[in-house]
Amino acid sequence: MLFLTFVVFSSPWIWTIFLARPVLAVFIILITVIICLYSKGQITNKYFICFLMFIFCYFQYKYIVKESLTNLSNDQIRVRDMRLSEYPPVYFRIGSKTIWLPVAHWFEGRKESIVFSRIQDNFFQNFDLNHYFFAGHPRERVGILESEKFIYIFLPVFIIGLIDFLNRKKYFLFLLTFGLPVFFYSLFGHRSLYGEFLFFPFISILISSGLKLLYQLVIKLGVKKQRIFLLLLIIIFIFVLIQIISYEIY
Amino acid sequence: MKYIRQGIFITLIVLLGAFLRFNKLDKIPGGFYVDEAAIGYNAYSFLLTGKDEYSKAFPIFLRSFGAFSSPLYTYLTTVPIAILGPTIFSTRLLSALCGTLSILVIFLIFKRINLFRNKYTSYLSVLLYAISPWSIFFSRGAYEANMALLFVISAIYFLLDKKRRLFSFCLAAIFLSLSTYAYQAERLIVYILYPGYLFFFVVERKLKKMFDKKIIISLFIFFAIQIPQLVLLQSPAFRNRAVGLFYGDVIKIQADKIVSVIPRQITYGLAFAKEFFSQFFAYFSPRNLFLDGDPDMQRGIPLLSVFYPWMMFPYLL
Repeated sequence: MLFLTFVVFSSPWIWTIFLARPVLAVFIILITVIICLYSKGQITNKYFICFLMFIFCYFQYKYIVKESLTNLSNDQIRVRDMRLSEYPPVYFRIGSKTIWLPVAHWFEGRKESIVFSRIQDNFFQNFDLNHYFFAGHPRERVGILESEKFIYIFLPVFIIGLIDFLNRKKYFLFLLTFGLPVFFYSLFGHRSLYGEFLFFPFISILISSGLKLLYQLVIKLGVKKQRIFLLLLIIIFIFVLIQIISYEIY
Repeated sequence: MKYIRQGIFITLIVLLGAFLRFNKLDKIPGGFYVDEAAIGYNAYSFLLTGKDEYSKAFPIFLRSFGAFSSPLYTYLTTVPIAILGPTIFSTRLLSALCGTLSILVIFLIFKRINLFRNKYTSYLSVLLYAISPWSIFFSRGAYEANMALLFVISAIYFLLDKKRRLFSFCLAAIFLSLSTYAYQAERLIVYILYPGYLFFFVVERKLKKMFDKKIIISLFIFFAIQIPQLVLLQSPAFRNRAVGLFYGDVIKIQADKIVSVIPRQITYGLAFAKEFFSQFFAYFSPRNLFLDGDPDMQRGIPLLSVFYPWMMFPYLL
């Protein structure tokens, strides 16, 4: 829990939310703590966790700029029409009869294909670690205000935590804290006022468990090495924190 | 029987790859990009006069409107141009050939490292490479990078020789050294890859034979081929393509944003670290690998990235 506290309060993301919506920030922290307790087995009621996650989704739904999966802006219509005109004509002949196949329309014109491509685009955005650790850099998204969420030196620790989490095979927790947000953002898009905060508990818990694993490795070192390592880590952390805050307020 | 079946599988995959790379090569992609035209024109010029468009005889870097690009692709393109004439097809032919050969080399690498437990996985991996939109795209245009890639992976194949034979070392040295004449990125990559390999080779042998005969001979071959380029190391032509290396001015701009409580040198280090790691992880992002094409329209197909979107599911598994 100590590591989780450290990760949560060192996140520029939670402070950004806190400054704008303190109640929402407190709620996010609360959910994160409850999920952490559930992962440790201190809370066992699955239904309670599910209920909380659905309330959490409701909060996110409230702050998301809803995007239609089918509507196209004038510019998108222009691009689509340009693309449609680039398709070669597809046809086959049976005797003297020519049968034309509207392949271009099937691929890009039909509403179903537009919905599919929107969901696909939203789906892929969920997996981009750069959104959570590098403020979307180098591929910042159009129409979304990218902000610093977690400090980037936590990324290797997050990966350690993720591997450990997957090895433990806690599929229910994985589906609830990762699968549900992925499904949510795939359907409703990513234009959220305060970022995709449904992922906050998942990422912060994994970082904290990664940090814990790292700490367990460090304490196996000799006292002198341990001190040097920790000192170095603290110095790097402070420098990076200053860097991230500077970028955020610039 | 095992080898016949293996041969049939790989032949079919290479034939499929060749079809995807050679079919209507002169028509798809449409038009003839300025860089391709420059290669074709210079190759034709070398063939007729032995000089480039600036009347420079056999240059080490092709000036080509200030690009100072690597010359190997252009020199080798003189062969298809001599046979087939100065056409779009003959200019792109070498790239398509390199793309097709790289399928085979990648298969050989998989066989050599014996990475997969299931014997069919290596065929599947090579098939995925053969149909990869990225590989097909770069094989269908006259891109020097494609040739450099073939040279580098060929060198890797020889470096992975378990018996560590002298001829493997020599061939690896030749391919690596030649790749630096094929594309500018290899001028950096090779100088990281090759010393790195030799270092691990020496460490593996526990420093008993630091001056191994194989290392000395292969290094001699490598640097002998490098001489023309090393002579021009300080020239503006060599440094022309190194502009922007290590992110150049971006680091200064980012470092300037950091508040002045941190010493200047450290802010540069922090800005570089963030830029480097963001670029590094962005490459492995599923969005980059499976969805968004290259932002540079010349170097990608819209809505197609390195792999097809459906390939993401096995990637995540």
